Amino acid sequence: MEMDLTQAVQQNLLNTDRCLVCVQVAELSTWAKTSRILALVHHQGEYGLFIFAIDKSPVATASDLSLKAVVGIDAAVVCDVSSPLGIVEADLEFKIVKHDCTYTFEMSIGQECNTFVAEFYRVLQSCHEQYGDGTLDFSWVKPYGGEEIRGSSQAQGNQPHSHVSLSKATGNSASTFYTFEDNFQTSVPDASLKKSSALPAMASGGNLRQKLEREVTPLLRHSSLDMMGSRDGIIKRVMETREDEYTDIQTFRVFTGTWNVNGQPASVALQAWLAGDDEPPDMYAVGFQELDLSKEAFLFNDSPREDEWLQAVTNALHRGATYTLVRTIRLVGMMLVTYVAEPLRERVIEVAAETVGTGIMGKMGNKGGVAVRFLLHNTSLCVVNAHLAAHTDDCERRNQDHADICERLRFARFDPPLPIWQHDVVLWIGDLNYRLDQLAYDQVMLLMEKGAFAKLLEYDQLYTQKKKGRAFKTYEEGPITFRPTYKFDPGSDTYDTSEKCRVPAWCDRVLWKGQHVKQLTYRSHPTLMISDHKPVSALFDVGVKVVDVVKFKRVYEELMKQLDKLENEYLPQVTLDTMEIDFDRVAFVEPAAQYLIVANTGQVPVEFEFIRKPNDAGYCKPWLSISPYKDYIMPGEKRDVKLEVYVKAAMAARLNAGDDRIDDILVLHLHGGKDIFVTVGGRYVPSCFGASLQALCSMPTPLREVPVAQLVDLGSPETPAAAAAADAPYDIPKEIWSMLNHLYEFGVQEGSLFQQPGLPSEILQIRDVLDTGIADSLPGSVHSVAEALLMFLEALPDPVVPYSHYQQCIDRSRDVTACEQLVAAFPPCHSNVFRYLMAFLRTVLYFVDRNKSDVMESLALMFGSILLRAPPGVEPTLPPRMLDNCKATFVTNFITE
Amino acid sequence: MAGRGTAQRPNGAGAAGKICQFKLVLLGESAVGKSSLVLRFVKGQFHEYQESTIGAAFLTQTVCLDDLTVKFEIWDTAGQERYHSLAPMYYRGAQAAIVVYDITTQDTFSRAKTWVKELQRQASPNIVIALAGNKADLANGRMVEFDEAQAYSEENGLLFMETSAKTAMNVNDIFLAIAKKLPKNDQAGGGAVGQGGSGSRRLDEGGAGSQGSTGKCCK
Ligand SMILES: Nc1nc2c(ncn2[C@@H]2O[C@H](COP(=O)(O)OP(=O)(O)OP(=O)(O)O)[C@@H](O)[C@H]2O)c(=O)[nH]1
Ligand SMILES: [Mg+2]
Repeated sequence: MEMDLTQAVQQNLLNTDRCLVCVQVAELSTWAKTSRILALVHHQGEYGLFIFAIDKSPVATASDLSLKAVVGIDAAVVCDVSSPLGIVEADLEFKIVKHDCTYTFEMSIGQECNTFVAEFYRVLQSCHEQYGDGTLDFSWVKPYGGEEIRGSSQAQGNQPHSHVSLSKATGNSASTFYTFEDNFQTSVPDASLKKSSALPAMASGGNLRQKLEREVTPLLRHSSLDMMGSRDGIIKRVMETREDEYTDIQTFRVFTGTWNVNGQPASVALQAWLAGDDEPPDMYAVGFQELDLSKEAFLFNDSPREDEWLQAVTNALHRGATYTLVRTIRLVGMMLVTYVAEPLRERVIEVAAETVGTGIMGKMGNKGGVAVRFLLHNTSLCVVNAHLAAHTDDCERRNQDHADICERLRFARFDPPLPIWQHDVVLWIGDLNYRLDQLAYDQVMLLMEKGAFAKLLEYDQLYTQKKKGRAFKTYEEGPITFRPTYKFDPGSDTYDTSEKCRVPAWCDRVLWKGQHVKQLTYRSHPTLMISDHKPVSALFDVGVKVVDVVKFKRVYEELMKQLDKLENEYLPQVTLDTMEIDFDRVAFVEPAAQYLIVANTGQVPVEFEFIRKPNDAGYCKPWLSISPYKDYIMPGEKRDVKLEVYVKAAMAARLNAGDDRIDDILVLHLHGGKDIFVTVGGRYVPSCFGASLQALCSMPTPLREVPVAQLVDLGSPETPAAAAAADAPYDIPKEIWSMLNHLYEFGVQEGSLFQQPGLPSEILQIRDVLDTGIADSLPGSVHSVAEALLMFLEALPDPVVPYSHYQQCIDRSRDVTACEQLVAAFPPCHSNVFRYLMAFLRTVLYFVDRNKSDVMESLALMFGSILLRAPPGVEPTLPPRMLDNCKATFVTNFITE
Repeated sequence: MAGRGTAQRPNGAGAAGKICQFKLVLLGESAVGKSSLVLRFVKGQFHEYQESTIGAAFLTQTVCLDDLTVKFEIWDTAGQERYHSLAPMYYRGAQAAIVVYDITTQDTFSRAKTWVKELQRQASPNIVIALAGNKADLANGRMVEFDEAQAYSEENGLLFMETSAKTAMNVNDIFLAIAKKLPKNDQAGGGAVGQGGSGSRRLDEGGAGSQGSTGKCCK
């Protein structure tokens, strides 16, 4: 089974810590690049960047990784992402600086990298928001370099080098740049580090990744192409960051109340607690603890008290407004009830509730928290009602409960599940159970009598723990001006007179977090006496972000404009030196080249390609070739594209006849952008190469002296001019005669005729002499003349063996007599040329003195394929080899003695 | 100021909700002002000496309707007759077309009509076609009567407006009218905006779009 990387990392972590996202990178140092795994690890609201070395690749199990260093993430961390040269395809450089330590990593761009960087930025941002410029001590990181790992390496006592030490990278004690010495790699982390597995959050890690991929990827610089893909996500993101521009802060009054009712039935009216003010609040959040102390409630989470108390609350709400219940949530004895005043009902959306038990086994619901969250207009609000561990000495346990609730309470309807801290406003109420330390009953009573609450508060555990940053660190609490709310003799206003004689304490509290929150009152309500606690309330004015539709539309449209602009700006852009390429004079087998300069004048790399037009076979005509026809160009760079014309035998006839012209429109497509049309033109110079036998036989003068119109007419046998040419002045074209005559005079005795290639330049000269008749004899070597002859025959629009006779000649190639009859039936100029050629080949063979039969065979194959060509568009009836043999056999009939 | 962006938050106004993406093509004889209309619409500019388009220019522009956002992928084609045979590359798969003529030249109106015919025959069957009588600022030289073009448009079920890229008259309006008229049913579209955004907009691959598909819609 292959192991997911996140899983492998997770198994290297402690139970309390979770790998949010990880990625494989290369760590860059001056002399090396080393593979690493970067993991973003979460520990109770704090984060660390864990850097793992890869001991075995690919990573298959947790032990393939070993921890190299941890960077605690707080405001001291600076992170920079850049891609060298602004190249989209290149790797990203991810640089982390904390104090005077710098790590540089290279990541290959992709979803994983994007996800990681996006998530890292998100965490960094939230750390800034949560902790401001303060640095954290990251004590939770210590175990990774502390006892457990040391223990395990000592177990392998015979390896002196596997000693592990945790050294601080800088002398600054505030720094949390822990690095482990390199030899740490050889030690195997203790099994106790791996016991955490299959955390429920693993699944959400995956969701988180997907979500971020969708949303944040495009925020990375230089990825303009990705941008189009996730425009949706960007819009959402940017609109959120620009919220201030289209929302107004409107103040709403929020009542919060908390009461530990000690399992009592709802037998009293609650108006004194809930409706004591003149003005009705806009929202209520009322929390109870120990609503039901029964076994049933504890074991089955089932309580008749729920309805009872809900009813009591509903009955006691302020008369000045009509309220709608938003949501109630209960876990054993903890219940939270939320209402909004009627006009706000429409403005409350995304309501969710969640519970977390921190009681026995970290699970049972006798202790823990319940929470409700929703959006009020555009402000996200979360109310937590908690009941933390009891007993004076269990302060640490209470801190832990608080941390557990913060960490574990996540609203699961969101993807990823939404934690408490990701809300604009958090109101935290409940029986937090913090006591007064160091003071005896009498001392407390004395201070209380004097009304010295500020003095008394100095002994309050919550006050001191919070100050030390051990709980509720980021929360605020208003000044307490009421007497401790615990512990009373039930039904009285008297502090505990039992033999336990508990020291009074402010167990019941209200704290908050968020902007635009102003506490108006913070009170206890001593007239309610059924419980051993007094209820507490706090009234707030909460500034809520209310969308101004007109402003929203304006911001939204402005953003659209910006994105359009950006998108259009980042479209691929090129400039061509010309869009018309004129080859001027184009002649048979005479190559000519022109260059097109494509300059990338845009801001992004361009991939260009010449693309096929509808109804065309290729991206350009067969007489043209383009190289490169597709390529990349970086911004500011150029590419020379070579366009080359070359008219081969097979294309000559159509160009000669005007059926085709040196004329084409090329479509230069920029991937992800526009198309540019490039026109290619030229003037084809007609030649006897590509003219028909018929036409050539009827022309007394060289081809260039014949007017083009007449030339075209002569080409097609239906026209009167062609009919007149039937009784042609020549038996065979003088061009063929001229070449054969030349070869006869100078070449037949050369044994290797038709076996050596000619020189292209000489072939061009031969072509010109034939077309113009300027010289009596042909220039160049006999091999050039021989090749010119072959080209000439190949370029004939109707081959020497006419298309009309082709199939019969193939079918009957083994029948000598039939073949002779077929040749006799060719149009006269065709049969003349054929016979003339055969006679010539016999002469050639006559002079061959060695390997005569081999030479004969190769000549037969060569001429067979040139003289017998299948009519265009006709599917061959035989496999190519057999077809070639038939053609050769046909020719052989006429060249054997 | 707790972290944001993780929870879905419909920010009150619904406009941000839904984005539909459509391919729009401009057709019409050379020099009628296709590029000028696009330039006016996308960048709010006008050039007295606008170069003739040799190719097919590509730009995007978003318009916001009350309940949704429409993103146009605009293809501005070359009007010169010699490029006529390449036009199908661009109107194939388009959900909208603006056929442009110049009110001061009768020929361009005739040419516009043949474009409309070609679109009706060859483009996707539910294509929304708008006819734009451009250069309306040159009313002195008018050769095509408003009523004539209007009547023709009605007969053929086209949106019709006289526009001026120079004065900006009716330029946004015609795009907006198209945006409103485009079918936006989710089922038909399906694909998310940009579909992965590889940026490949190669046209001969867009052929599938011509089988009567409507806009790509998403939430
Ligand atoms: N007076 C006036 N002139 C316009 C208007 N629109 C365009 N023009 C001018 O008309 C000329 C041609 O405009 P283009 O936008 O290039 O025309 P086109 O349809 O894109 O032409 P091609 O790209 O060749 O197909 C330019 O000189 C413009 O300045 C208009 O509304 N009024
Ligand atoms: Mg143009």
